Amino acid sequence: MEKYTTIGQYSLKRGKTADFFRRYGMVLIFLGPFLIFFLLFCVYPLVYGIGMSLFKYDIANPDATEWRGFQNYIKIMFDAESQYHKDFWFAFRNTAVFAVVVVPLSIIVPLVIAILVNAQPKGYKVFRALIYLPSVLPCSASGVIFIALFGYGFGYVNQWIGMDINWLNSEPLYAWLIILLLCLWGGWGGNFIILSAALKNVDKSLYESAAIDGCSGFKRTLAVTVPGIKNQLLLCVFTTIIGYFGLYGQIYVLTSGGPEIFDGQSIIKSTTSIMYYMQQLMNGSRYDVYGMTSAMGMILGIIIGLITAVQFAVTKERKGKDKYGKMYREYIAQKNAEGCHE
Amino acid sequence: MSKFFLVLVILMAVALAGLLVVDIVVTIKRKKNELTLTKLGRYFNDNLLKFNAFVLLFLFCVVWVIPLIVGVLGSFTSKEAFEYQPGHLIPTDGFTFDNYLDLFTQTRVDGTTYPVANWLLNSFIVSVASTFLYLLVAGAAAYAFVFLDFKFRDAIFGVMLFTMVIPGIATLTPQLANVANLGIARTLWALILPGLGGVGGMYLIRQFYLGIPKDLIESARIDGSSDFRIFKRVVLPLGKSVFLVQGLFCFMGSWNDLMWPQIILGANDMDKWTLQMGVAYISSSRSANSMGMSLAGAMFSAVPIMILFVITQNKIIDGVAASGVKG
Repeated sequence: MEKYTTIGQYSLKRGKTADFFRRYGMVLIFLGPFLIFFLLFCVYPLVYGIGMSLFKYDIANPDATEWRGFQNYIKIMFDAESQYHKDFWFAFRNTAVFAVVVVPLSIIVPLVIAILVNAQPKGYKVFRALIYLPSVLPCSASGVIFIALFGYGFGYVNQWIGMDINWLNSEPLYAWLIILLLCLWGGWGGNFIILSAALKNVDKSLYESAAIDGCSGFKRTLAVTVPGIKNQLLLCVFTTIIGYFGLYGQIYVLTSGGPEIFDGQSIIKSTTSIMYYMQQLMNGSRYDVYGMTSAMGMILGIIIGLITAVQFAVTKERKGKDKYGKMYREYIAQKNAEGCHE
Repeated sequence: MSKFFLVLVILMAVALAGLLVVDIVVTIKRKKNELTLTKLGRYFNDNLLKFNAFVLLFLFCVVWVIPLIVGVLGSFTSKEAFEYQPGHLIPTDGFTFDNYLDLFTQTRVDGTTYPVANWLLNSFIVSVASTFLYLLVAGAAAYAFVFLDFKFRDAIFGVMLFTMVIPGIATLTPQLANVANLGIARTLWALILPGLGGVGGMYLIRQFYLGIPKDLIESARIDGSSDFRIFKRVVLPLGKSVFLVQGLFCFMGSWNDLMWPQIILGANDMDKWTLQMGVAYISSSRSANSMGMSLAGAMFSAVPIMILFVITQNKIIDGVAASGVKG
């Protein structure tokens, strides 16, 4: 009797071990490649970047780096004499102001259009596709189209409205306006789709009871629709802000940082965004700025992380079950909002 | 002010005014209960909201597609028309194919032509390769996370998800150094490989797998199928739709990307560029002389995406919508 159990246990144990190895092998085969890429291109750069930001890193000669401690950070944050400090915060201010200006426009207009599409008039699918179409275009293509529209001397718009304005290369404000238009034309499709899907899910019976209570159309929108899609609105607000911290392609194609203005001491590229500034540094002639740009990236990462934390606090779902779902939604919505930056 | 613009504005104003009149008349008649007497009246009674929405959307779309029309027609407009007769959608000297020919044949200062064919090829290689490799790698990883059982499975997945909140801008510089250290900087590998570690798409695929009944997999296992076989014969066919959506996102993402290729490939070796870099470069002078050619290049970069979008628009729109609502 005892012998039998021993064999049984033994075989069970063996079976377990074999089974464990079989599964372990399978896991390695299925998960291994992804895990390697994930570690190599997601985790490692983060750790390496924290390290890099403490050095004067020379990409042409990584061995000859020079320990800086927190000098890079201090220079960027506090050293008013440093050109890095000036340029970084100038670009940061531009980007932040632009994001804040863009947000209401890229929420309210898509919301109105989404409400119209949601009434499902004839051919609404065609309208929906047409409205979303610019958002899938590469921003070098849509940027070129906007150069054709607003270029100086040959642009269509100047001819149509009978003006002679150098939109892209005279006043910084004009240039920013065109960048804004391009960002709206080629950028809020994602918000539009998310909001119109959210509208579809608003409880129809709420509308009926609101109508019975004598709510007019406009009041109904404010009282029923907006609370019904509150989560998606907040999602759009935050992802739009975060997305525009990556503002790059539109600026590169439309203005390349111009128009250049002289502030008494130095020439400033007035439409520099933070991404554009970092790209210019990294593709520039100096090979030893990479510690500095890593430090900038880390500072921005912390700022964006804080915004994300606020977002989590504000949009905390009470159900609490679907915590991964929200992170994912955010991620995808962010990708859509960013459009072509990354 | 040009005729085109005037006509557009007047038509818009007339349409809006007409809509307002219709609305007012309908509202008054509705109050008097006269509306249901005629057929037209009954239509407006039932469909006033839809009618309004249609007119407003139509007007909006008329403005919305102007840039697209400019892009298409402008690419057939000659240099001379841009220089001397700007502002006409239909150029005064007629349409021409010259811009598309110039794109391939026009010599530059150093006597060479733009390597447009190279750019197109590079863009296609990068987009197709990163799409298929990502679907394979991430699809397999998602399979492991859903259908295989191993220690720390959920912990590993949680860590992966957590890294999604780290913005790309933070790891931009170290990624460049990383790629340089691996010895693949200035090659197309540097555009394909870093994307393969992305968690977002893997998450999307995993979410879909969770909907596949576990019993199905278990019974396939009991029948003696290996995991490879299950993956190939059961999971892949069932997951077609999610692979399509994620594949489209991947393809569009890498086809449209401008910044990372610029940082990786640099300004010097034009043959290695992607199409987006090339278009951005050609248009960088922002002059009448290069405008038609830039627009032709822009069409090359936009048309594949437009075709993809038109074919698969419902899938893409559903995919984007799902990201905001269901998750």
